[in-house]
Amino acid sequence: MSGSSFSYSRSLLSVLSPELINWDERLSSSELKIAIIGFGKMGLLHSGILNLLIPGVVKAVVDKSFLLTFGASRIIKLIRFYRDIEEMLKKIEPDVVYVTTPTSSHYSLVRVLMEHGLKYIFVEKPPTFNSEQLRGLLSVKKPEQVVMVGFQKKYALTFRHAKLLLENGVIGEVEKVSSYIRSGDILEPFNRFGAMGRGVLLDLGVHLIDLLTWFFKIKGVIRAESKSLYTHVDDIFKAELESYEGYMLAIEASWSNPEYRVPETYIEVQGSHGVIKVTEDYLKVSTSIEHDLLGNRREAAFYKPHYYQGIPPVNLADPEYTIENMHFLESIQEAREPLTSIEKSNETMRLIDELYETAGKR
Amino acid sequence: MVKEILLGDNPFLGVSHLAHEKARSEQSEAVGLEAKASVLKAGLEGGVTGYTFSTHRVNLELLEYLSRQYPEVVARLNYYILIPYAQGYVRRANVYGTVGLVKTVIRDIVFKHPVDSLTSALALNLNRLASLFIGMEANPYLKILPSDRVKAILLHEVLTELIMAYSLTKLLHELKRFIEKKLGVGFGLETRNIGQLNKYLEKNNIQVEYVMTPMNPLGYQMAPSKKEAEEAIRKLREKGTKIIAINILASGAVTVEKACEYLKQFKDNIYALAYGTTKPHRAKENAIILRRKLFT
Repeated sequence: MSGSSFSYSRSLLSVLSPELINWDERLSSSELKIAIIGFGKMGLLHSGILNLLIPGVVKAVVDKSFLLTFGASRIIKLIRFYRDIEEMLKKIEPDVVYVTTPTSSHYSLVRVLMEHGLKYIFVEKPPTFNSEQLRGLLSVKKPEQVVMVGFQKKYALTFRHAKLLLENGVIGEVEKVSSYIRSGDILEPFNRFGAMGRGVLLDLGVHLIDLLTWFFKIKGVIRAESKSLYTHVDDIFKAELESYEGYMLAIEASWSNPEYRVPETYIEVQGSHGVIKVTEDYLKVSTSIEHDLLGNRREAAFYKPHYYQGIPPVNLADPEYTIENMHFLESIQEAREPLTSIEKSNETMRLIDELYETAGKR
Repeated sequence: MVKEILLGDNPFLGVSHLAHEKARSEQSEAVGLEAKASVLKAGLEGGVTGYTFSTHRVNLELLEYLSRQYPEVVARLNYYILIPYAQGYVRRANVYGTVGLVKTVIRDIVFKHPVDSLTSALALNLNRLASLFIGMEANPYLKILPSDRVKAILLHEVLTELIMAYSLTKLLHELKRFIEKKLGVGFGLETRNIGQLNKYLEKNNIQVEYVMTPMNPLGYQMAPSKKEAEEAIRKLREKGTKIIAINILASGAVTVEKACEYLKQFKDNIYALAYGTTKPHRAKENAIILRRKLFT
């Protein structure tokens, strides 16, 4: 990695992460009251980041587990714990609610919150089980309500950078895309997702599909197949998609790959003049054209340390989670639609349905 | 003044903050116990004085192996233990859900400490239960390591950040008391939010012996900003906290020489430096360079 890579990526930061510009001024006046529904891994993560960004901003947590709410209330005195959503809404009157429960409950919870008239809602990915449920939510959503979905990969600076390079034709016309999202989370028989009937594509692959629909114009599914290894749902999902321009996109989603200690998303874009390889960790570009976006070079590689230099202001899990939360809070403050609004998730969920249908799953 | 050079375990566990791709390749390089042992031995030759590791079973296997095969290596190193191995719990939460994970952990604690856990549960003292968890994680290592060589147990960054986020001051006091008094070793916190940690400790008038935090010329993993992180490090040092600088090579994005240039200005504030590698020659060379540039 050359020294010029550093200065180049530094100058790009304001373009790639506008959320971080004067963030303390933009958020310091925030007097929002935030509540979290679901105190699992994601609930802990979001509330932790939010409280580190704006101390004390999380006022309440709702979880149906007695064990969790009772235990947590004995230790955490800063936050009120509830097992009933209505009671929390009545007593706390939050401005913002984060829904970080399992996917199967997203639709009903978001709907309840919308009908209650809550103005700002964050729901973890995937927003719903399928696109029909998503349309159901959109049909009851009022124009002034803001619902953001936790597609946090769009807040990772490597992927944002890749999109910028693609849009500016740095590798010419796109000819082929290969991609995967893999983790080693499920390596033994397991039944937690059985009742839902959808597995890795919905739970993990949805990130990849969301990135691909953001990068490219996808027409539809050519072929799709899934395999169960440890569960009764898809543990590995492979498919081929077609773009409107006619090129193919190969995808793979797996949560049963023992080589992956943590999940990794990989997209390789072959263009008429070069190639882009991008993950959460790095962006590598090789092209035959000198482009000012590459500092007039033909090869470049950027890793996380090149992007996240003294940013973001909170480090808890991957940096994109903090940027995602800042984006949501700033969208509220500045009254604008978030990058990952529920409306913008429609195409992703439609494609997820089509993939399952093509693979012969419901 | 820099007093110690530590080898870190991340590459042995398949952890790289640069790229998962690199982590997988490094892990395959140091797949055997002998390969890991040779990294530690080479490090010692270069001037490494300690090993900092999390409570992952790979480390237990390695330290047991070293105790059998190379007791002289075990006897020469100081140890800084990070608790818990957070990614292991994240994976278990992914599979069993958080409630399932909590139940499993409680069951393990009850199994290991039936009387203590029962009294803690009856008194609804969950902070005490958390101490038992720390003890349960640490004990297998404390049994095999020379007691005078275990310098500190540090809370993993995920615990530290959540303690700050929820202002869990009582829990922090309880864990500190347990580690210092019951386990008889130094207490420390690992953080990637050093600016916020300094403010939190100051506000709650808490003094900790060790703080482990990233320090590198890029400011990678230094929050809330590089400048504020540096200021916090100076302030903590003034209050007597021993700073252990980690990720000094910004996950491999900078050379050891560049790292030294940057760290030189803080050498009076830093107690120990840590880096990780799977290559014996790198373990030795880096230690030699760090000693030459920062110990004089």
